[in-house]
Amino acid sequence: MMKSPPAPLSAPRPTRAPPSAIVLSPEQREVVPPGFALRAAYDRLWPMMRCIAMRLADNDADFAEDLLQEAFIHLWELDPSRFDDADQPYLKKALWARMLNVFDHDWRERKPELVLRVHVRAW
Amino acid sequence: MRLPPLSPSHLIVVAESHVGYGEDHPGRSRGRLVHGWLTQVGIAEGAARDMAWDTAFVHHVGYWSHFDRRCLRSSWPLPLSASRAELAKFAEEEGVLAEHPMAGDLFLLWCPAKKRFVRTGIVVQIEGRGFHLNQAPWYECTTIEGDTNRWRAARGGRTLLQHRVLSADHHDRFVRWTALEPGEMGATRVDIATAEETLAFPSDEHLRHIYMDEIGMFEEDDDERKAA
Repeated sequence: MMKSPPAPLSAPRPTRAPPSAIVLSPEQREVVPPGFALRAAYDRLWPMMRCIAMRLADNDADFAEDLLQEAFIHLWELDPSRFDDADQPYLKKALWARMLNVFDHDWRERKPELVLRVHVRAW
Repeated sequence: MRLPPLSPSHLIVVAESHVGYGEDHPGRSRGRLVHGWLTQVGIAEGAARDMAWDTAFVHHVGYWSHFDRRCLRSSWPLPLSASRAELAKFAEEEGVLAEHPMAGDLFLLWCPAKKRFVRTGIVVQIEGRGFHLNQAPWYECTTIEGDTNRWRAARGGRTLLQHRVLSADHHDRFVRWTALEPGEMGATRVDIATAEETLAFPSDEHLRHIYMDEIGMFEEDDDERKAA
């Protein structure tokens, strides 16, 4: 006669529903992307940068857009969250330097007299 | 009695539990929670009304994640201070100021205008990495920071998870506090040379492959179009 297997010491734990989860607030759930800080800096700096770009590009809207795009790529690289209100002159100077650099490279061959004029004005 | 071993996962778990909390009314009144954190690092109530509390938050989380109830002490190895400069100085003197992050490290964000560190927090996860044009690496990190908000204002008033790009090229640094473990584990000091070996800039051959995959096919299309 076959011997029956020994009875387990305790019955297996019954499956049950997991405990109810805490309802997370949006702040607890999401990782804040850098876009908010970048957007705020963009909104703050755009009017001034647009004026500078237009003057640099001698009112050529397409070229002014290119300059602005380069400036704001540089802004992304710098990460505006490193700077507070007191650092805005530094930030503006850095963006101006980038635009001037692009201007030099792109237009030196095309309109040398304009490059010279802008540099004299900047000086 | 042996104190709890240093554990980045303890720090991250305790920090996660603070996300979403902070000042009662950001920008107006700090409330008891933040006052408590500042008091722990020696800042008297009302002494520094405009003082940021990101460093105090890090120390609070670090201290209590390594606290042992039996001996009423914590094994948190960093000196309690509200100053980021002191934190960086201590880390540099101890040889634990790294240029490459690991989960659990404290990051120090550099401001080129002020020429000092302007924020600290905890690196939770490294999401990715890349290289600047000058071949210096940058890292996409998920971090937990105190005294911030969605717009990352200097005095935001909340504790939040942020997605940041940090780079040694921008003078950002990482405090590898786990390397301060005393005793036999002390040999795991920060070794930047080792990190450099594992983080080599992609070879010319590899870059050529990327170029061909991403840009080459467009050029082929252009060639075909020209030929047509």
